Amino acid sequence: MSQTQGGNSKAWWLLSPGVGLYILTFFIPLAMLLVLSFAKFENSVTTIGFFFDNYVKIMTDGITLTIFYRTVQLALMITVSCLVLGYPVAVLMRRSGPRARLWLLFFIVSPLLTSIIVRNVAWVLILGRSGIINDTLIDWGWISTPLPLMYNTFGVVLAVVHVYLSFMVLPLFGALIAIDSSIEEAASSLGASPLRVFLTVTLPLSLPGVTAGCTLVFILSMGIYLTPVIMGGNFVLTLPMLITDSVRNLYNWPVASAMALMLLAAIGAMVLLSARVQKMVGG
Amino acid sequence: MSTVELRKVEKRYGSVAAVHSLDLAIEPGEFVTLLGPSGCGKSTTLRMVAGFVQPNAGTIEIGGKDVTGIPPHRREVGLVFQNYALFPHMSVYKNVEFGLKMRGVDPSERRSRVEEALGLVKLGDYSERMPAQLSGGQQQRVALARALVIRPNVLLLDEPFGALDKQLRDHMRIELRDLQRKLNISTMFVTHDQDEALSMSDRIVVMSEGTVCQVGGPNAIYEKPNSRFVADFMGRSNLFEARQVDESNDARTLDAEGLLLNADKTQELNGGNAIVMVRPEKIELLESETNRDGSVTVGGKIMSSVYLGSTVQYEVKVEDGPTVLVVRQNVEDGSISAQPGSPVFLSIPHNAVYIIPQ
Ligand SMILES: Nc1ncnc2c1ncn2[C@@H]1O[C@H](COP(=O)(O)OP(=O)(O)OP(=O)(O)O)[C@@H](O)[C@H]1O
Ligand SMILES: [Mg+2]
Repeated sequence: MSQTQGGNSKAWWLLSPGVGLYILTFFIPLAMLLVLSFAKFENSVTTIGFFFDNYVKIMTDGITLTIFYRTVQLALMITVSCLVLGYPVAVLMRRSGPRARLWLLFFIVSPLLTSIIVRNVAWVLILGRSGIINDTLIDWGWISTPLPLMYNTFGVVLAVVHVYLSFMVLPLFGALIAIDSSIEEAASSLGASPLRVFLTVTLPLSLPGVTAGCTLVFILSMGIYLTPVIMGGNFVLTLPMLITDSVRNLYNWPVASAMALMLLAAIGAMVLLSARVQKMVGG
Repeated sequence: MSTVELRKVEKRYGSVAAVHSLDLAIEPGEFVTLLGPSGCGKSTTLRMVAGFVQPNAGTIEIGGKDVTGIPPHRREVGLVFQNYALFPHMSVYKNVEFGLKMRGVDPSERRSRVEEALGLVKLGDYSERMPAQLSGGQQQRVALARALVIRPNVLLLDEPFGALDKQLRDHMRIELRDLQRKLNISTMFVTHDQDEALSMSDRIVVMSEGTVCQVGGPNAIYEKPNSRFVADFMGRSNLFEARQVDESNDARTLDAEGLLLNADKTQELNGGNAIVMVRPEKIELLESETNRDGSVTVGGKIMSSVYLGSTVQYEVKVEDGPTVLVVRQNVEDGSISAQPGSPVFLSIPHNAVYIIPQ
């Protein structure tokens, strides 16, 4: 007994590289953000201290708060789209044989294998004013002026969903495959139609996957920057774009830090919410 | 009218027939067991009755109605699985209520029927528990209540006690059989445990490789198997190749691989050759040669003895004959020396010698 305990306490040292990296890349930057967010920025000079100027500014300047809401809205749209599109794919993957499952997996994950720039340029070629879709539809005479497929929220959501779908499908698939199919068969033999089996058994039992996927996609979507720049063409602004602007063009690290903490707070709220849902349903 | 009737039912997976041209009828209130080795098609047959597997050919009737091609949720069957398959996110009460809700039974009737069903399986006090808070035996009783509460035409059980320990299994057998008799519900029970089949069934259907080998009451299946396979599968038996060497008014003398046996003449012998079966518990072990009416006595030597608690199992090599398995009750003054190598005599009654029909 004491032998094994001794072995275990030694094994703790194995965690030290991971813990070290975590402190270095998470706690230290977070502490710096906190300190900076309470600093004062005046005439391009940063004074460390305990000032609320940055928070007052982002709450009252009218633009930051609006963009923050839009960012949350955009992230929610992306999350819901991923859920709605991803659930049937996860169901299909569960029902497929091992071969078809592998192909579906490859198909879903493939956007992650290409660089973000290449991917977005490809979307421009497809959705742009004289992209493949608009050109074809005009050629066929179905439309006379190009459809607004990008430089708007639609274009951004589409391009982001394309990549983040895999972060939704994988947890969903994991949750679905863990459901014993005899539970669904039991429901069916008790008189539940396929739709009711889904609503009363499959869906509730897959909720851990739903909350995991939604949390993951939401967190990632709160941080999108490059895709709205390319696909939104300055018509879709996100908080990360504002943060970048503050740092790059205004050298205002303190206000950027306050905005970053605001982003973090929204993500924290989402994590708490999903834990809450999980607890409510899972018992 | 039979409760369930399968006619020439066939199920193929690729080129392999999991179930081959199966005919079977279950009468109202009857307890029928499908018994056979792993992979013989028991579950497939049950799942065809439940509607989860579509037969490639043949028809299935439940309650006189052709249900071939009708989906499971419109079949009025009660299904119980080996792994209980309770809804883990619903309380015991909600689990049992589920089928009634799906049928649109009104709330007040639902309550009384759920309580009645939980009372039947003696779980009235557990209705607010979640399935994870119950033992395996309790979970299976909930599954039983959930299947019975909808008053199905037929109760289908696929190795329902397979996940329980032996003591609980024996207990659940009795409980299920009592309940089944009380409700007089037609039941189709799948198992590969012959004790379970013998102790519970009105009729046993012995299956092998997708076909029915024999259908009959427990007694008929055990005492009068119609094939070597059934004899072998149903408990331990001595099986010998035999040929007739003599015949009198009421008996045949058979040479069973060197062992001379007498069999009643009422048993037909096609051609001169046959396979005979002697159940090991019907053979007596004697210390000295004692001739008894209606028995043959032969000498031999104990090769091994296995102590099994309530019984002792011996292997006895007959002089110039086969090795014979003998099972004796472990009664107190067991005068037989169990030492391997000891000489003994076997006394085999005529009526213990059964000729397997070819
Ligand atoms: N979905 C399937 N696809 C292919 N073959 C199958 C399928 N289901 C069953 N089989 C085959 O059909 C045969 C009968 O299977 P079944 O499950 O009915 O056996 P069983 O008698 O219930 O066996 P066990 O006692 O092991 O449960 C087996 O050979 C099995 O491999
Ligand atoms: Mg089976």
